[in-house]
Amino acid sequence: MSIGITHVEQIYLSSAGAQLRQAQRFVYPSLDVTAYDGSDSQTRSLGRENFGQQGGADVISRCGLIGAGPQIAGQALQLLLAPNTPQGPRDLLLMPDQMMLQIHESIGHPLELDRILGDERNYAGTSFVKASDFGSLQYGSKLLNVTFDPDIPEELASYGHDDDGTAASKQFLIREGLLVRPLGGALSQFRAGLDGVANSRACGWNRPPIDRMANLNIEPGDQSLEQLIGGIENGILMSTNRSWSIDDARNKFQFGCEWGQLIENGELKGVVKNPNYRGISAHFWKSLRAVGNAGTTRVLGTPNCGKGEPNQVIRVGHASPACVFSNVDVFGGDA
Amino acid sequence: MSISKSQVETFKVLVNWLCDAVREPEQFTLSYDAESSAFVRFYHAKVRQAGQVQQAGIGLKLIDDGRHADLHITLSGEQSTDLQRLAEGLQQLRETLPLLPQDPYLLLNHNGWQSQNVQEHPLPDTEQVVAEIAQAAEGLDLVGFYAAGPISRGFASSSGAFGWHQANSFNFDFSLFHENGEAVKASYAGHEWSSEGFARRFQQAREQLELLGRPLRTLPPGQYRAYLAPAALEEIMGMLCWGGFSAQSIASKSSPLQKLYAGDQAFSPLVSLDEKISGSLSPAFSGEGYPRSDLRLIIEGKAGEQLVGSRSAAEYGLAANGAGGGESPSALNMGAGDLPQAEILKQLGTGLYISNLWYLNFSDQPAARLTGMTRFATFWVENGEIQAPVSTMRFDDSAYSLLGSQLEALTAERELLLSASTYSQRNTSSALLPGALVSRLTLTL
Repeated sequence: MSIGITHVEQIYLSSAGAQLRQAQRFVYPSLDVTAYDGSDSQTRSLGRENFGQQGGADVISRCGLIGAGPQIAGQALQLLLAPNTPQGPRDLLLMPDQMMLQIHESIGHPLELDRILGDERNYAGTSFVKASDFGSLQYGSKLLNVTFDPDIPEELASYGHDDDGTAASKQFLIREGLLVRPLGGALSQFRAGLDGVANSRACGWNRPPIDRMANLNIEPGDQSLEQLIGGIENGILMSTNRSWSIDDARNKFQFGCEWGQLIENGELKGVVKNPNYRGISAHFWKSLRAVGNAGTTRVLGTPNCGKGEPNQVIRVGHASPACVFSNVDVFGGDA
Repeated sequence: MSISKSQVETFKVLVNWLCDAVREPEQFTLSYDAESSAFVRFYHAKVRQAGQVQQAGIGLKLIDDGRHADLHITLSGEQSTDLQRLAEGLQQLRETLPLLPQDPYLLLNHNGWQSQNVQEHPLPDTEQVVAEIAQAAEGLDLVGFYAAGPISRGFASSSGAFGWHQANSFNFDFSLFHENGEAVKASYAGHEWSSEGFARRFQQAREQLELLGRPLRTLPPGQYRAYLAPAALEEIMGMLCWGGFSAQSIASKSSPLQKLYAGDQAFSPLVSLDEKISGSLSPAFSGEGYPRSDLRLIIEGKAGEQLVGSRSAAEYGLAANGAGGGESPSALNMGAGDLPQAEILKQLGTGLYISNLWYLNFSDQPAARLTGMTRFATFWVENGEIQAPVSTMRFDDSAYSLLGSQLEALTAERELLLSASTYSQRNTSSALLPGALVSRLTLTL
């Protein structure tokens, strides 16, 4: 178990007379347990490092760290005894602590305008999205609404202005499944001739600002968790990311979770271990068929998003409800 | 863009001040990191972004009565300012220590060891490098990144230990893109820039680029013979090094190589892997204050030594061998095989020639099962001849298969790959690796 606390104070000055000061505190709670039976091992955590938020002791309260030990340890032991995830297509219910990774890798990075312009081709990669797709590409089903939202106080990348001094405000990037706006700061907007957002960010004094994700969220829908589960005939619930891999154009992905639970005829059934799934971003979001309501939403994020040459690692926020996807290729492990 | 020759003297001033300032029974360790880096980013064969970063910092650990606390201080380069920051840092740690419990796993090295390694190869002028790159890439779609300059690492302790490591290096990491979107990746890195050496490396990449112009082939998922070039194998080794050889991970059963260390799995007898610090770019001492040893990690397919940091040594009753906090190798050296470079395509016959892999992760970590993508120059080969570039594919396979039952041969020639990573600071890790011919690689998507 660990708790990380970071204080950041930043002053932005420009020859045009701008004077902007931001002081922020970030709290990263972490708890994980590994169970071992002499051959296999299974790790269960409290969201890995993804429960970080801005704030103080309130962050510890919100994330449920206090008293979580027995439950986390019990789940690690359950996983050790559980069968492997069965292979084949199923409806997939992703909880927010996996949705954040899904958003990050297969919406966030592909919408970064500097990637689309080709700046990252030697390192982080390109994008399957083209500049001409904005305003015309149906990225997902009509249920998909994605926002750049710097105004949620506890979320990791809430801020008043980016590192180019541009004032930040909430913008829809995808509305009812239609791609409308990229993640691009002032310079990339000028180069591409597209409207963007205030996301030009540097990880510190020794690196230049580049287009980064900030708070990239999925707007809640109207279904409770019970309704989401109740609407699944043959499916699986997956929770808490543990593995992530995606191609350099952010299209073909394979992700793994710590916790899996089968769903049959609208009811949660047995626990399964090593739950993995794979798909293609360009198709996956079109299979979104149910979005949880605000009651299923969690405000999460990661302090470890890497990109750029020279390399930069930066904090980003992702708030998401639980979501259901149809007919996804799922599978287990070897052990 | 050079670190002043008095850099080591600057560090010594801080160390001497600290030696005078600590009060019995206080003890300290002081680590030092500095670099002066030219960073140039290329886009469409032109400079997209250029910068110069000079940075220096120290890590101070204060120990008293089994308690310890750490502080990182950014240095300004002004001696009086830096001594003031150090004094304030020392006071802050003195006030913090009584609030902390004793640490049962604190293990200090009380030896007064001495180590010095200074490599002062002259670096080329950045403008000259940029001009050579621009000339070589004329008419090509080059994207890349040049990083160069001196790096310094230091360590001192109240027990009298003192280590100093300083090296000049450069790394030009680049890609050449064909107009069809396919690309070849290459790098030219080392201590001494040679115009001829760079031209040769660039020409090799250019020749591969020509092959990428052929019509793209899309493969169905399935199992294929494959050759993994050293840069592709480095990605696999990098995953295995992510906790694989860490004493802490092995003991806590979170190592991807726990079955190897338990004796339940083995790699091919062809596989021998060392951590060879001596002669590498990495410092010969750790930030914790232990001299680093050369280690035999895998011996003919079987588990060998582990990387043991001081905390693991204290917790698990092992001998510390200079591993850093993450207990990851930083100077991999894999034994060569007997497959000549010139015979690779012939021995492959029909299958995949994979130059690079990308974005690997575990599908099943305890089983060392990995997934990842092909990226950059991957070719379909038939009867020993390159036929076509292959569209991006995902693989999912066990390391015990790829480097075990399915490993046919390793190349006789090895390639020294220097890390191009610049997260926080320029990385000094390296890998000397052969290529690997495998009889079965599973593609899934």
